[in-house]
Amino acid sequence: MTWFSDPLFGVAITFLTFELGVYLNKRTGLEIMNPLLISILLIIALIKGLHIDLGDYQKGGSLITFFIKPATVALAIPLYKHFDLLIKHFKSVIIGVLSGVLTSFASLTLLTKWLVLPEHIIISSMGRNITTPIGMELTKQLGGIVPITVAMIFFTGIYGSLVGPWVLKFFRIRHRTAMGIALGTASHVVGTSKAITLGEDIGAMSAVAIPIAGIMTVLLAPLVLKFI
Amino acid sequence: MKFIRQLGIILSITYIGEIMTSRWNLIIPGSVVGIIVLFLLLQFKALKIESVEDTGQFLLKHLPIMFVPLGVGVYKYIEDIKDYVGILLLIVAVTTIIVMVVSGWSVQLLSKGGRDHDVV
Repeated sequence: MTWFSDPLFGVAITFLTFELGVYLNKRTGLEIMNPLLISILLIIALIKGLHIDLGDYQKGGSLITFFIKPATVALAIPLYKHFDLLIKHFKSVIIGVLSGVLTSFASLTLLTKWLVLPEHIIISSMGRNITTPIGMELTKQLGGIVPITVAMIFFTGIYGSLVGPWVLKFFRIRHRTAMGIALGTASHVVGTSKAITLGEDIGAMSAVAIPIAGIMTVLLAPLVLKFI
Repeated sequence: MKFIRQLGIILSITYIGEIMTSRWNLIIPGSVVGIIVLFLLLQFKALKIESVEDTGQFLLKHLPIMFVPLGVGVYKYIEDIKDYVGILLLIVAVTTIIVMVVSGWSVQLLSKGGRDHDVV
């Protein structure tokens, strides 16, 4: 099937399915009709249904993912514009992210003890709520299984951006800095892309939380593992 | 042309970040180093916000679509992890909410002075 081996196939199908997701989202107004989720599911169904090689799709896909890095770097722009906000809430931001990171370890430990999970699952789950490049490094360092971490980081991002606005509302998190820190600490860059839609300042705080949460997790994870 | 110039600046900084990370074996990924570099350039007025803002905001606005191929890629690993998918999803479903609530509440409690930023 040589028609699918052109990189433009992957690019076109990504844009088309995403656009369809945007349309369904607008039409229904449902949070679950998330364009990202719809696009992924449709593409998986398509390549499975037509027996398209995943590598063929990724020829085009990698052209799109290429822009994640520069887009991540561009997070410096909202950060710069709202830097006064970070300085003003510096102490609470640091303590907020740290409490999130510690809660992440604690809840994982309790859950895995209760479910009696194998050790490699625990190790590979330590970095599930931090950004993919840092999370992958952490798992390599700890001797876990990288694909598990990547999959979990992804689930966490999508899930966090889906339930995030609802969680913030339900638990009465209304302070704008708190909203951003909560989304960024719990669901990294994907959560941040949701935070940006709630407000530029919320997006900026969410972006601030990503590297802080990532670095804290990397530094604390080996210590935490000693006590499990 | 403005768009191209801005993209050029952002891509160059991204590249510098990647090089710094691989060169010095930093635990921080290149894109995070890139955030720091761009931020410092802006903060110290070496670069004007107008020279990166339009393209930067464009990239940020369209961040979600960039994750689509990564998500499709996870499908490749489903075979490896299929025995655990349910458990992994459960871990994510439960702990993500707890982390979100605890970090959000901590900031909110500690920032009581910052009422001016409250939505309500």
